[in-house]
Amino acid sequence: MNIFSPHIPFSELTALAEEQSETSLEATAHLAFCSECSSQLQLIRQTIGFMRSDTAEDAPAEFIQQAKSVFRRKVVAHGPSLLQVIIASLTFDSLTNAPAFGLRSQTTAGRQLIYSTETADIDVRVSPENDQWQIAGQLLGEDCPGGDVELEGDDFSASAELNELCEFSFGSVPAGAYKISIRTPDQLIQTPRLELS
Amino acid sequence: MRFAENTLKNLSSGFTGVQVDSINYMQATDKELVMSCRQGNESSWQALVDRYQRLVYAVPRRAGLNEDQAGEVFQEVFVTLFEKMNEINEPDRLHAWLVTTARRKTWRLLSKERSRQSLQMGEDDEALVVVDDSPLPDETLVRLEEQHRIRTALAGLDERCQQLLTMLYYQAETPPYSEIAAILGTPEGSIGPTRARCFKKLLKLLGK
Repeated sequence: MNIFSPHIPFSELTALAEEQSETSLEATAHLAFCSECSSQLQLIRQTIGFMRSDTAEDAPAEFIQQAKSVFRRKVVAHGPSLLQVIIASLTFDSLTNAPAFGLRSQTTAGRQLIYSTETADIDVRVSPENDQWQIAGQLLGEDCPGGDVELEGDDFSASAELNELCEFSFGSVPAGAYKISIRTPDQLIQTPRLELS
Repeated sequence: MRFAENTLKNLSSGFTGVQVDSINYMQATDKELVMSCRQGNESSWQALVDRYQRLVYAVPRRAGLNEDQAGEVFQEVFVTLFEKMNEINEPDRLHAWLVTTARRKTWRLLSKERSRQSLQMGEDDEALVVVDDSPLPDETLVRLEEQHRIRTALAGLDERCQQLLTMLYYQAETPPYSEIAAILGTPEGSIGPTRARCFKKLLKLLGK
């Protein structure tokens, strides 16, 4: 290869990009002359740079599994595009927070949590029951359209119906991490996982 | 009800060049996977989640959110993707759509977090600020997208090339060639030429 030869072999370019071999005078001259080889070398270097600086971590397996289950929950149970899935966020936890303005006052026994969406709040109260837990709650909003509630944990799950006041309860719940899903005719509201220990 | 995989045969209408009889999930394009999802193929949805989980999770993490907060953003992004599946006009630019959505949801969560802290601590509290105020510059997101594209292309290579390029470029310390050769069961002298062949295939998959 010289400045007049067609191109630097790709294998040599990759070695140059890794700076494993010193750039010979011939190669230097060729690269100055050949824009195709110099841009290819630049591309290889840039790609290696992206790879070496890629420190992104995998999402936790639990998150991936939940994301995958979105399809089954929506398509299998209700058909596509019929149900709006809303993730409620925790806005109050009596265990860690002072009550925020406008929320119900803290209870003296057990633990109260409020999960909020743009249209509704879920009031959840957790209290010990022997060496297990009782979970009671209420969907707060203008209307109570009815629906059902699912408590999902790794080793325990249960379901209940909303009563006429949009209340629900689960008894004898073992320690664990649980997600609450409230399904109304047009929404599926899900809470983040709640740790009971 | 699970949609039968042969409904993929319907995918071709209006989308030329889409493989319709079967899908290799590792090598399928984003457009193929999105189209397949629209037809009710759960495996395609799972392939999309697998393909993009790292990128979607990286956005809130780069913004300084903790694991739980990043998980919240992560779930919201995929739920939104599912809900908007039929409205995505450029499925082959799904990576950009996901990054933009993840960035918006990250900002929203950061904003909510600041409001909550304001209520708890008062405006004058110096300990108020716990997260960067202007996370996720475009440059960071472009880099994340490019790194994602390269990883996706890498997954489309044969196993030997994947192993070699991973050992060479994705480890904090590149192992000695003798070690790489032993793992691959190949002479040390063939590492250089094999690397070049694999890299060429990688660039081809990247469209470069």
